[in-house]
Amino acid sequence: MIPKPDLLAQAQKLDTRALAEIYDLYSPRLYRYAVRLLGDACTAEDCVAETFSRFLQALQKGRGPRDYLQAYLFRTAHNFIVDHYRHGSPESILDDDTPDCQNTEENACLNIRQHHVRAALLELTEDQGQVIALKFLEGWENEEIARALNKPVGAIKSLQHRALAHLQKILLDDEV
Amino acid sequence: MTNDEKIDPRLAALLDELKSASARDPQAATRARGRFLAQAVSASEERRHNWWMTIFQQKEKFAMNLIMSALVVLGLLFGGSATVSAAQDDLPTQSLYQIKLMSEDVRVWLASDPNMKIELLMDQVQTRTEEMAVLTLAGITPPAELSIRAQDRIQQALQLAATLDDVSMSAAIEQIRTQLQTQEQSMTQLQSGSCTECEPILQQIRDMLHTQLGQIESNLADPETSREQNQNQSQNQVRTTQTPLATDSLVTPQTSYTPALDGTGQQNGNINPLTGTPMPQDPGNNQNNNENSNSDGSVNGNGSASGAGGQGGKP
Repeated sequence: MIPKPDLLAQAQKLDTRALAEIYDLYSPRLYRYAVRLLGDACTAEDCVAETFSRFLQALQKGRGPRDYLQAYLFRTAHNFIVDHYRHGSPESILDDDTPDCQNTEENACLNIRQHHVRAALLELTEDQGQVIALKFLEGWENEEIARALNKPVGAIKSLQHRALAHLQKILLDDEV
Repeated sequence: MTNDEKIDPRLAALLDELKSASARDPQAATRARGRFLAQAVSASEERRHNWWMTIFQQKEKFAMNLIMSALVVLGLLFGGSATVSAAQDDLPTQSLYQIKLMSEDVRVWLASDPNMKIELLMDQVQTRTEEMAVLTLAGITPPAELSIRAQDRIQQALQLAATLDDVSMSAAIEQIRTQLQTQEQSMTQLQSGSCTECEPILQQIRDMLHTQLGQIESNLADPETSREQNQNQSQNQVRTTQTPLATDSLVTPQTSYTPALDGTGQQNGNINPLTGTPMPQDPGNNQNNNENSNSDGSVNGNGSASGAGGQGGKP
């Protein structure tokens, strides 16, 4: 097993062993992140595949991450997700009527609530959505998020504050 | 995770519900991994291939440069030497004759041993004599440049001999005398040939050879005096003349002059090629007027010996 700090250096040389280790290390987390935000296993797999494909292409061109590989991969995955919703029809999610959960199975209710949360996240700006996803879904610290978004920690806090306020307004104020 | 900001528990609960997304299908994960690794291997091989291609192209470029350089060198060596070789049989009337003269100069210049230089210089004198013979037999009047050059080379040989020790000098002068005697005989035989137009110039050459032989005789009789004369002559020439390639500053004979030659063997003006004396138009006048030439080779009288005073012998 290649030591973690050397992984990126080896990957930049297109060392297949290092690339395999990177894939094994990050693909489950990326999948989880994608499926949470996308709600679809198949699209989440596409997201993971596309993320690693872009990573490989960047390495081939001598570009790609110089450090903070995890931040790079999650940023790439998030871009895919945003693009997916931009080119798809997120309105169908937003326009769903609130289901009557009393007469449905619990799983169905859960799916519907998840749809609502995702739709609310899509109403946030790109950066706000990513801050919320990384912070509250993936459990990252502000410093890690700052690296992923190439922003100072103070800006991340500010984004988080505004994002939470907006989400609260969308998801909770409607309930009142 | 440390939440820096208080989050509404209901909102936190809603966000937590996203965490319970379905687990990844292991088969789909394996397939995806396989696809990625295939891409990675392909990318790795492509880079390796490109790396080798780059190296190969660089090597190829280097090899091409090497080959081209070798071809140029070979061309210069064989092409150049072939040209020089082809020029060796040329006569003054032929196109490569100047190359022949230049190659002769180079050969003398490259020789480090004075005896070798003397031998080469006398070979050149013999070559000039042979050229005159060939031209005369062909009914062509030999150009004056031939005798000028021959005389110049004899003088250079004598001056070089003066730089040697007594024994070597005597041997060298003896060798020069023998060669000049042979050449004088050849000239005498040619003079009795059928080319009547050539007779005046041949007579001049014969006179020149005769004069040189006289000087050699006096050198042999009084080596010390002749050594001083030759050395003084050399020093004067170093001061007053430019040094041509072939002569290592032993350039212009004391009694020679430098008519302006345009490199084609043609003489500019009517000047006696053997003495530097202005000549009348009549080719029959072959008198030598050595007294009209001074020691630095310039011309007294009406004859305009142009050029860088005393560069006789330079092709």
